[in-house]
Amino acid sequence: MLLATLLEGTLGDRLTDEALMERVVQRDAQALEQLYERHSRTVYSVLLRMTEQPASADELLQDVFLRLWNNASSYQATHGPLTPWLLTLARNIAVDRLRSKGERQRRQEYGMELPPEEAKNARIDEWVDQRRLAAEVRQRMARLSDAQRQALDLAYYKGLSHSEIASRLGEPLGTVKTWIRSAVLQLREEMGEET
Amino acid sequence: MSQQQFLPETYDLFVLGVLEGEELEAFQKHLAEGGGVARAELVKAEARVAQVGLLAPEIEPPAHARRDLMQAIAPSRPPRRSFPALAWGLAAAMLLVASLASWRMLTLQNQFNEVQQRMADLDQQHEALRAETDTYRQVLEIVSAPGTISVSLGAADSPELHAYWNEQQGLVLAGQNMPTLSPNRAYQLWVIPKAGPPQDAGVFRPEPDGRVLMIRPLGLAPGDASALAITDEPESGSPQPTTQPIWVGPLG
Repeated sequence: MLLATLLEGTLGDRLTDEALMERVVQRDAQALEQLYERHSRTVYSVLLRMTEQPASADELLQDVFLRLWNNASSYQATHGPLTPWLLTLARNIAVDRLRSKGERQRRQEYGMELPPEEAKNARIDEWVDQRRLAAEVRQRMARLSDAQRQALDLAYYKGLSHSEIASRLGEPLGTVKTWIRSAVLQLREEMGEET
Repeated sequence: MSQQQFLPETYDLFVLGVLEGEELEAFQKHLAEGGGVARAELVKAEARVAQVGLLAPEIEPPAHARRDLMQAIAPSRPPRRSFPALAWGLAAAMLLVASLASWRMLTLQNQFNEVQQRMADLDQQHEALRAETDTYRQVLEIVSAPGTISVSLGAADSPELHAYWNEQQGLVLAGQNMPTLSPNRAYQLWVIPKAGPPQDAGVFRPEPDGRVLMIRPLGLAPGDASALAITDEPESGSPQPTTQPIWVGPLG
């Protein structure tokens, strides 16, 4: 059901993401601005969690939406909704950045600062569906063990491989593989009907 | 390597990015050979994995991020001419203002210089008048002083020349219609004593209109002199007369 909601991409009487993407293909800047309004918080939150630096997250956020603007025609709505496509794009860009030498240097220079706590959830998201979806995912993730969640976080937000996560956590490679695989299976099970 | 050799969750693991080494290479090959079915599974896996991103606490991006994005996608335009035109216009206006200011300053400076010159001229005139006044006061004092004698020099058809001599205050020579002198020449007044050589009483050149007014102190009493005489001498004067007297005024 959850994935069905995502795949449906319906936003009441508003234009769907897919409709807006068609307009973006036609170089409609207002359509891009609407998509930014809908998805920038989610994308920015992921980028900030990954880079742990507001300045880097700002840059990457613009990079993500510029790629959306310049490669809108490559998005195929029939293959899925926009949100996962956008998050995948954002994550790939951020992982590339994290793996670059320059980013490591910058992180050392600027430290691993996060924005102040009060900056989080600073405003009520009008996109209720997105919030509901996020709440459901959190509930699902809450069923994972701490070790599973930690390993999944390192994989998703830090772009680390199995062996890198094992090294980071000081756990055997096989154990880490099992944790991550079980977490993924749990995700699939929750969305089994859709998958 | 066939598709059945991979567990379904391998798509998710691939999207998550944890696969590595031979396992990664094998799955990439599987995807390349899997066609549309593999791509469809990959899209579904991306949708599932993307949900992990929804776990991040939602944070509002900074306001400038939207502005930066919209500026970045704004169609590139040729350099606007309005600003350069405005700048040139402003520069021209400033140049005009500067020129006007310079011209005005120059005018004021010229006026100031003229006023200064006029003041200098007036000062000079004032000084000249003051000196002239002093001269006339001195002349008046000598002429009106007790014991002053009057001596006329020359004949009736010669310039009108008079001398007023006071033993204590000196001698005044006043005249008009005096002939013009040659360049580098001057008239010299002599006191002819009753005994001894002529004594210098002053060198003078008449004004362009022929007038002359000269005051000189003399160390000789009128009673010791027999006459006054004027000769034509070099401009700096002579110790003794070098020419015959032109005008002579006998005393007593």
